[in-house]
Amino acid sequence: MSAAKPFTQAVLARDIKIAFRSGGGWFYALFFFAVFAALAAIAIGPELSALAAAAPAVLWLAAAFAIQFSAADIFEGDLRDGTLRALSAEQASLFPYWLAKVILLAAVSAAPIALAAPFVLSMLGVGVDVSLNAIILLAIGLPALILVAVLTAALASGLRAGGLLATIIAAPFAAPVLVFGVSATNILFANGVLWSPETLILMALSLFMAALTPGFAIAALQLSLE
Amino acid sequence: MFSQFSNPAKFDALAQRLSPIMFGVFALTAFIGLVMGLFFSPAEKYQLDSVRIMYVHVPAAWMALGAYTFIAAMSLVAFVWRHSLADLAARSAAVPGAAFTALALFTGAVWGKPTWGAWWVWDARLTSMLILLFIYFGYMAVWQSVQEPARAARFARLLALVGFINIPIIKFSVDWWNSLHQPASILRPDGPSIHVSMLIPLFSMLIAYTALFGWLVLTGVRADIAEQKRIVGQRRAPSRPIASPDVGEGAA
Repeated sequence: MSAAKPFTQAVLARDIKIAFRSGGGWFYALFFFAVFAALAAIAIGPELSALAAAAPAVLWLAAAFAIQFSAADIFEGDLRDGTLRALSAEQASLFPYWLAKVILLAAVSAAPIALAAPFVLSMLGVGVDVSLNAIILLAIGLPALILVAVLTAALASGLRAGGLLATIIAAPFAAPVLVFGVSATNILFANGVLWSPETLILMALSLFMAALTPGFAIAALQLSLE
Repeated sequence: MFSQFSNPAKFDALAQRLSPIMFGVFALTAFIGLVMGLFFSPAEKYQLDSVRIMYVHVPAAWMALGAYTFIAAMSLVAFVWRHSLADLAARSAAVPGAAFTALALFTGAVWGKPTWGAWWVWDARLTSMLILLFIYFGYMAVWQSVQEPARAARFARLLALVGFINIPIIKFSVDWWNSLHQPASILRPDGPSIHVSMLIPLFSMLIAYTALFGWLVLTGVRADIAEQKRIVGQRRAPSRPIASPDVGEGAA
């Protein structure tokens, strides 16, 4: 157990170095988020009241797809070059490795999205003060989406179908997060209430996914090595 | 208790005896249920004859959930006891389960048109059935995307189990979502109480659908066993004449 923490840090440090080096593409999730929101705005039309009404849905859909797609190839490199096999032979459990990947997604994909959300929301006609509170809602809800994305990426890693299959598998898990994320955001924008029951359930979903997904994700990773 | 049937030959022998019984029960109860439901049961006071869709709709919805529960249970058996036929049973249940889900959605739409005035309403039940259909799609896609069945089975088990744990969460969130967006004054297709003259055909149809499901799963597993025998046979076949060219087919 004592070795787990430095091991997680080592994998994380390596992955962050890879993500931020030239051509690492750490900003892809952020760009995808912005492009999705812009396309949604173009599809809805320039009227600000219509955009503001759709803003919570656009925010959560864009974030969900950005995180799902940025997780699609998260295990790909380590599987292909044998790193994962070597780690699995050397470590008692793949839990530290899984943890490093979850933290990586949170730091490289989710955090930039959450920080960019107020800008995007302002462009969709939402007031600046409630837009800033949306960062807190995303910080509460995005962990659930990250955990689901890592789980489905692990399940799809041994299959050759890749990203699209992972997204189909993720849909039933993402649906509750979208329900409570969007309704909590709606309540925030309409009444300025941040700690609504919906927000608490959103937090419960993140905690539930944290309890449910590690075992299954690690089992799937071990299967992909067989 | 069921471990003796993990032997494919024993299972096959049992299935061979069981499947004509299943099919017979299906044919008989479906006939009784359809004739009573479509001709002899009373029409409903407000919905008139459209209430008869219930006899194909409700059992389909029931089996849609039942089939996924069966898949999850078989996946658990396969996961814990490495019971290889349980994987085959789970796989054989996927297509019938998805078909029952699609049938429930389709008949729900046909029923919804005269009752709600729209083909599709984002009602809590319809929405959760739609998500269930997506769960079936994901499960079938995992089986499809791996060439080697033994490998596919292990991924499919994991997905079936984690998906099953998630179902109550989906149900809860869809109910919540629906209560926010839709007035609760919808005329529910099922009344507060059902008369016996409707219950008898409804229950015969439930038995019919269950027997049909059982027959389809047994047939699917038997087909898989036969396929594996054929593959094993093919692997053995070419080695015989090469190893001992003098032994003809008659001698074997």
